[in-house]
Amino acid sequence: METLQNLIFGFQVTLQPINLFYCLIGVLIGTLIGVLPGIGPVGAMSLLLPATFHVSPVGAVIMLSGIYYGAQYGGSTTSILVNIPGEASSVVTCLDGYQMARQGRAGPALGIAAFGSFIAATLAIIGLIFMASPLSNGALGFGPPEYCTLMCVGLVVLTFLAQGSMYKGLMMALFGLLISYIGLDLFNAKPRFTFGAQELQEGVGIVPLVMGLFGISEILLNLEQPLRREIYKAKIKGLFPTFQDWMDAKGAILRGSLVGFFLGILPGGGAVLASFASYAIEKKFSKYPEKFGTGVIEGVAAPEAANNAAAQASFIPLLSLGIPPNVVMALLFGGLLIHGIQPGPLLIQKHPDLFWGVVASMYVGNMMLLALNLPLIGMWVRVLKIPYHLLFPLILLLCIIGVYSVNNSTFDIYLMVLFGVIGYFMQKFDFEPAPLALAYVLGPMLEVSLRQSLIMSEGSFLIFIHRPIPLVSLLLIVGLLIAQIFSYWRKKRHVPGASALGTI
Amino acid sequence: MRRKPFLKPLACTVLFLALGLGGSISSLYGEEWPSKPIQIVVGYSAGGTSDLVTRGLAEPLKKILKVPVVVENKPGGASLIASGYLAKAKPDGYTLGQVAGNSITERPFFMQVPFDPVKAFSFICQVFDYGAGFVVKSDAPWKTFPEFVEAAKKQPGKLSVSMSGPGSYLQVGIAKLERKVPGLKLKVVPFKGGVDAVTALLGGHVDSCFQSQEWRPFVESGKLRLLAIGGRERLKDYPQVPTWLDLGYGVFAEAPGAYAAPAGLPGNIRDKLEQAFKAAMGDPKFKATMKSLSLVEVYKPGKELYEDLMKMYEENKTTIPQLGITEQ
Repeated sequence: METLQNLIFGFQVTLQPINLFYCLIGVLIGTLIGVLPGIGPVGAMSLLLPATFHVSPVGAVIMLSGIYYGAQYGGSTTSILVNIPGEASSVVTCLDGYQMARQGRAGPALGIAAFGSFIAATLAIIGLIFMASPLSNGALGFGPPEYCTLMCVGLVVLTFLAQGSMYKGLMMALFGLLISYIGLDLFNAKPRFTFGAQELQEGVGIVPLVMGLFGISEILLNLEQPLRREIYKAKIKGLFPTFQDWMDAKGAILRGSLVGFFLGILPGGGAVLASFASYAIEKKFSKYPEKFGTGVIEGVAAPEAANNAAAQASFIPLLSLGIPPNVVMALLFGGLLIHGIQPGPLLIQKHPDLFWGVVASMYVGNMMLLALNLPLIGMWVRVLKIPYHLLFPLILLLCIIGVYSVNNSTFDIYLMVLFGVIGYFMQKFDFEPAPLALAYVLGPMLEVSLRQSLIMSEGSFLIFIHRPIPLVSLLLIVGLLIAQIFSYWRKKRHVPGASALGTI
Repeated sequence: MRRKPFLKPLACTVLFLALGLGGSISSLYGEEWPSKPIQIVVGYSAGGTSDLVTRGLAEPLKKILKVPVVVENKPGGASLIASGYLAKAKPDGYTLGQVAGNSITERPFFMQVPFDPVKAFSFICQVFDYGAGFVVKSDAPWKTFPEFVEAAKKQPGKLSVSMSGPGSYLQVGIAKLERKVPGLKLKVVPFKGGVDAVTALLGGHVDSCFQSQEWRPFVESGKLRLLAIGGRERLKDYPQVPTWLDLGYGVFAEAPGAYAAPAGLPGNIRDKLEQAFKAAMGDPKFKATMKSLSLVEVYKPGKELYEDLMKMYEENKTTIPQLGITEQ
């Protein structure tokens, strides 16, 4: 079979010592970057881009790619250990991962995150190999109306994230939407809600937002307790996932991989959306949804699988069509250009060594990452034993450096602190940050694609019904809502006075 | 009696002070410029075209000026945030920046810009132009640009064109074209980036796209057809594709990419920088980078560039408000 031959060719390219070396460096740096909050793969890749000028194109791409998917592995570490999302796509991992750490189960959480990521990446690579071409052409079919309805589905899915009161969850979602609209209007360049501040013209960055909301607020909350007290339960219950954990998580990993793979291909979709969606799906179809958020292993396995699958899948549009679906891929695109390689539909034909070499290196890289991350679990778990009064200044320092490194902007630091304080008060009054974060991600895409769709249809909303994908999405939303109302009525009949809003 | 051990810390302090002051004193006494690293601020993120051009220049500049030349990315606001930062920097020749020509000539009419377009910068030179190409899908019925225009005139407001916005030179270019061609009215669909705009065309969601060079790989592979060039000159690799000026519309859309320092830069330093940039542009590695980025290399000395920009700025003071795209 031709694909098999190409794969073997790819492995021959990758297994050359020099390329193996680049792969190793890439994933090492990627893991480090992922662990350090704030500075993400984009930052690291841009720093290393000039260094790749003197390297062969294949080696350069292998290394830069390794940084990207390596970062997805590392990102879960701080989410689990200290509730600080290393990356926007690791926000959801905080929800259950951190709770598991507080119960002494950081080891299993980290373990399932690593294994789940590996399995998901492997599945995604297989998907990439066999389905790259038809999938990317399918992805092209996603225009503004399709994105708009997809975002609507996302907003409905968002409601499944709320653990406590639905009203509060919805309020947070609205708040998130509001925050997302700060910035320059795409269509007429008018600044909105910027209060004249130049720095807000691009809007509130996701990094200051999530680091403040999740990380800083958690530090503030922990500081309320006497510092000598253990924030984390002293007894570490095992370093690896138990058999029971595996049984519980296996479905989550598979479903997460699927969700992540398909959302990762969509330009603009990506790892963040995938992680939220997979978490919500797990919760919805679980036998014990109310336990999500208290330290359920599926709550870690699903988003971690999803964000890794999405990271691998995002290579598909770039390598097969020449369209970078996110900022990281755009950087890779630039890297390829510098080496005189024009990414585009002809890439596979013109540079088969590059394409298959990179694909093979993804597999090798993921194996390296698994080998790297597993032994480190023991070390990470020990970090938690550092007395909190020594730990939190370190965390704070890392956060500040991390958030500054994104845009070289001190304004972002102030923003992060502001959201930290807001997050602190939110937690005090039982408002959850997760719906806010998801709404914040969805808001701009929803608004932009809605307005673009309406321009295209000259004001008619029928455009959403005349095209197949939006029509299906809208029907899905209606179906979900009807199902929800149905189960509410049934509950009302069996248990008078029960509020479905509190049990979703 | 034991002598208190104050000599050691005292000596250390004096040493540190001396080293610290020595460094700054040397610049106070006007040590020959350049004597410390030079920073070039770019308003786009790393890996993007604007960033890669600058990095491509930084290498030869380092050899010419014999000091490290560092690129710093300050993305946001369509490069306006970086330009704002540059405008406020010290004009000592150590902080430079990439400034898009239409941050001066066009954007001030769309939004508040964080600098005075006329007085903020001392331009070193222009290095390139972003270019602008009008593309359609290769299976589209229009084989030439005039054909497209005729079809658009028959159904005003129906044919769509995607581009990156807002307030971009592409939007202004299309608006100016519509003004000059009676009966031409296109549906403008803005996207957040050039890639998204081209993707929308590839997916058949819009009829055409007017974008700088993100369409290149697809024209090369035959998926898209290049109908016209918005700039003043034809592209070297597509000499058969006419410009809007060639076609007689009397309109052009150009986006000069230039480098500048904050106003008040001493004239002799500016001249030295201009010479250095000109020499750097001749570096073969830089030329190769430009080729791979598909950017049009245009060298214009700073003084001439400034005059051209001011001319355009004055013209746009009356033209742009008439286009009716600044208010919605």
